[in-house]
Amino acid sequence: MNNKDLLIELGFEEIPSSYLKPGIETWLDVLMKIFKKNEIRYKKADYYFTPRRYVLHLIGIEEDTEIKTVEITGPPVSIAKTDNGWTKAAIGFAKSQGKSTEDIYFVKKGKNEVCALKIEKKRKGLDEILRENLVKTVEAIRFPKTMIWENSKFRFARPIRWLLILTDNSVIEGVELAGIKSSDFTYGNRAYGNKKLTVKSIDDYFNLMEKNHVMVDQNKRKRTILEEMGNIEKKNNITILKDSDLLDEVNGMIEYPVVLLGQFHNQYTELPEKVVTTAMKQHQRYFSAVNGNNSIAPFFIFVANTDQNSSAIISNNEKVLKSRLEDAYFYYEEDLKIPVEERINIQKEILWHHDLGTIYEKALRVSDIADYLSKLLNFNYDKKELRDIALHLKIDLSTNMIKDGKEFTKLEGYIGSVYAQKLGVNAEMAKIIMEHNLPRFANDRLPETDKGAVFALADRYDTIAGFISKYGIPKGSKDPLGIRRVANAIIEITVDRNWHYDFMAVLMQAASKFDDNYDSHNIYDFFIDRIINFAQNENIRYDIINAIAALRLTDIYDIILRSRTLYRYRKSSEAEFNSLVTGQKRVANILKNIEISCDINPALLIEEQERILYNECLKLDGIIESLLKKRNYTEILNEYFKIRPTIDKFFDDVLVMDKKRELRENRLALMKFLRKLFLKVADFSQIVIEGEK
Amino acid sequence: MYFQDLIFSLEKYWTEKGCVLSQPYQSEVGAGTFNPATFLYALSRKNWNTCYVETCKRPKDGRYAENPNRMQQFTQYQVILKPAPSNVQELYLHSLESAGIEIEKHDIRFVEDDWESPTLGASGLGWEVWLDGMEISQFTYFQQLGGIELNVIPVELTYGLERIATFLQGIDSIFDLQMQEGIKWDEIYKEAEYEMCVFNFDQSNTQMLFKQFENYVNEVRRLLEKGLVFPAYDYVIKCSHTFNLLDARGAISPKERGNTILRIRNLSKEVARLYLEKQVNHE
Repeated sequence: MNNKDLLIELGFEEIPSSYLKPGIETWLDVLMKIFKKNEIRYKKADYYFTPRRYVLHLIGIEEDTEIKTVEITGPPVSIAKTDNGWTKAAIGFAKSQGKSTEDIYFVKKGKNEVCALKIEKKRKGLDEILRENLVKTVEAIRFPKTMIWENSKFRFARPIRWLLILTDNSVIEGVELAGIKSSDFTYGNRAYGNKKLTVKSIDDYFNLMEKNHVMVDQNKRKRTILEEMGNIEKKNNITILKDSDLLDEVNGMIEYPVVLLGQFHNQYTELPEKVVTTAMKQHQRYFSAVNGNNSIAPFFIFVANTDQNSSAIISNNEKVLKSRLEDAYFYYEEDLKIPVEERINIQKEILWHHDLGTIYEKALRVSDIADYLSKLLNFNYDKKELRDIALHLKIDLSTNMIKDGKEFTKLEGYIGSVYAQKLGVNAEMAKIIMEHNLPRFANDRLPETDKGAVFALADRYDTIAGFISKYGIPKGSKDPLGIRRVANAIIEITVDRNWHYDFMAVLMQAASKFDDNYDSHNIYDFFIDRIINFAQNENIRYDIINAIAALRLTDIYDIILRSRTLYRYRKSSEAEFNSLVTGQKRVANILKNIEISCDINPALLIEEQERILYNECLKLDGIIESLLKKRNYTEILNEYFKIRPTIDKFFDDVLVMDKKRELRENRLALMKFLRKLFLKVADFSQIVIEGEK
Repeated sequence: MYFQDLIFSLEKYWTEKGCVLSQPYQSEVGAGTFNPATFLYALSRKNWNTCYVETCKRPKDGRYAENPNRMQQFTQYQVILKPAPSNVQELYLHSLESAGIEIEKHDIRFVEDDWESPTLGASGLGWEVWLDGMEISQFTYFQQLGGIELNVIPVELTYGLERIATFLQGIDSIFDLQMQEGIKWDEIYKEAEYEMCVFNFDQSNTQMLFKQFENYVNEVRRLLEKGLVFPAYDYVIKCSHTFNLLDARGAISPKERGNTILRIRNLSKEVARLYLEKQVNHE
């Protein structure tokens, strides 16, 4: 037995930062599977990446190439041998193991005597395994986009330029991949002359990397960046906003992190804060910083790939940022020259969407929906005020800052809000302008004020009604207009605010503006699908939502409340919950395809258990009605649990399908009554019990 | 280092590497890629190395000569190397050195940017090159031209000459670029820049342009039927520029915008297809 270390370095031209980690994780994973298949064990597997290299480092690989003898068993003797000698089965068995029938001997296996052979087995060495499989493992790496660049048409995120395979002190050469052959060299950091370096051993490799300004360990780079940021913070009395996505992105763009601090003119801190931070982050990948009082500081922090000539690098970066801020400042000044009233009027000329009219027309529709919705919610809003707000919601769509179509476009809503305040609109309205745009993406924050939420909903009900009227409900994976996202936001906001209202009524009110025939059945199902998606975040399974949706309820928050209660019961007392469901499945089954027109006639309840059940149902009916009004689903479920033994007992003692027609129909009517009591919360029979089809 | 010296040094560097010196195209183009020396030759030839200056017009990018770093006309240096050499990144960096940029004293980065020309049906993977945070070049391994998947991959290097020159001269504004001893950019170009912006944004004849656009489209079809690839391609270029002018005027609605781009792309694709067909017949 032999203990070895292995290091593989794949060198390439700069791969996009976001591709790096998922790519190398797949690579390691695939290689590990091949090791497992070949029964190769190792102590530790590490991976490292920079924009120019992937490094896999496996420590303590047990290489076992000694010859071992193992016994392999084959067909039973009864089949293998007849009076005429060996059968085809025996010959085939021997042949498959590279032996002849002469080598066969017999052993006991269970009750049978079977053929056996002694085989000498030699495990493959690491070298051989790598030569056979390494290319396959690299091919298995998936990237969002790939390219070809040489004759063999190998696909990868960017061109592969070198391959280095080291086991302890030796180099495995000649493995062919994408027009190159594995060899004994690597390259140093491009910023320090891109030196070609010959490598002799794994230790040598790590030494050379360090000497040539390549910090291969991404975690070490990140720690270094944070450490240097900390020093800058202390020295300059600022707090750097360490946006974690940006930090990861930047960390995948360098091999040797050097954190530098640049400055910009104080004048630009007058710009809306997010304009400044966006100008820095979006293109330049700069971090911003704030002063002690949490206001934006005239500094930017960036990570260079070299520690040479820092002062020139800083001043050049300052020039670049200045020109970007200058452009933003130009927009800002131009934009603020136009008063709010004029902005509102401009909306008459700008299409919101080519099939759905101008921004102004949308604002009028939104105002009506907001009015309708706020009445459903018992808010006493002034209709005129709602219209006024609606006309302000999208004043930023005509501004240079948003129209630019580049980095600042993402600030929609924010720009409207900031400009509105600068131009003398009251703070409440400014806040609504910002909030109506929330949430902008998954897990974004939600409106904090009632009015903000009313407009966030009204705007989205209008959007969804318009899109569905023109383009239909999205099917399959295609949803170019993002209709699902709009529905998700409606659900999120509604639940977040604990608002009870009839969402189908609001949707139909919104749809009435587009005078089309609405397939309300399909739209309802579409929303239920989105509610299922929402509930998944709370681990609530689809079947619970479906069971509730079977009642065609149109109060989103109420559906969620019911589902939470059912989920809790299923989780805390699964066996009882399941038996409740089973009982309801049984009742539903009995009632399937049966029309029951008669009412229950108490005089015909001749068995004791059916009388008890009837009386309990009567009692339950009253209790549930009052609990439903309070939406106390927990108590209702408790009541269901209480009546369950009675139901079980009924089924034990009483035959529903009695031969006598009047008894049978009376019992079916009782079943219908029972089912109706449960259907007040959900159709329990639709809940799926594990292990059941 | 005057502006023209930057051109001289790139010209010298790339011609010494074996590139044919091509000339800027005589028609209005938005990028060096439109020049037949790229769009047609990089598509058809197995070996093709060329370099040239291209004057690019992007009507929408003008700022009435008010922003010293954004204009509707600028100069690119375009290099095509087919097949892409395996040391092309090194070649590119050396070209910067030959122009006087000490690459080890700066933070040079290859940052993900996959370039695409929707009207040409051309796309590829590559980077924008950063020089101390400033984007100075586009570096693209073409994968498609005229909608046709390429077998032999060309690499396209595009230098933004004004930006690199301001960097070399240590100034912030293109207006102040020294073109030759005692003469600056604004003395030569500023007036034209302003007038072109007035034309692009306010004065272009929209009705005439719409008519021209349709005429050009028909002309491409007619010429393709006659099997005349190069003249047909000339009219594709005219279509593209006319579209850019209409777009700058805001005369094309968002929906129409997509449609029009698609129409031009389809013409580019047909030109590319006919061109390759004719090449095969020659062989």
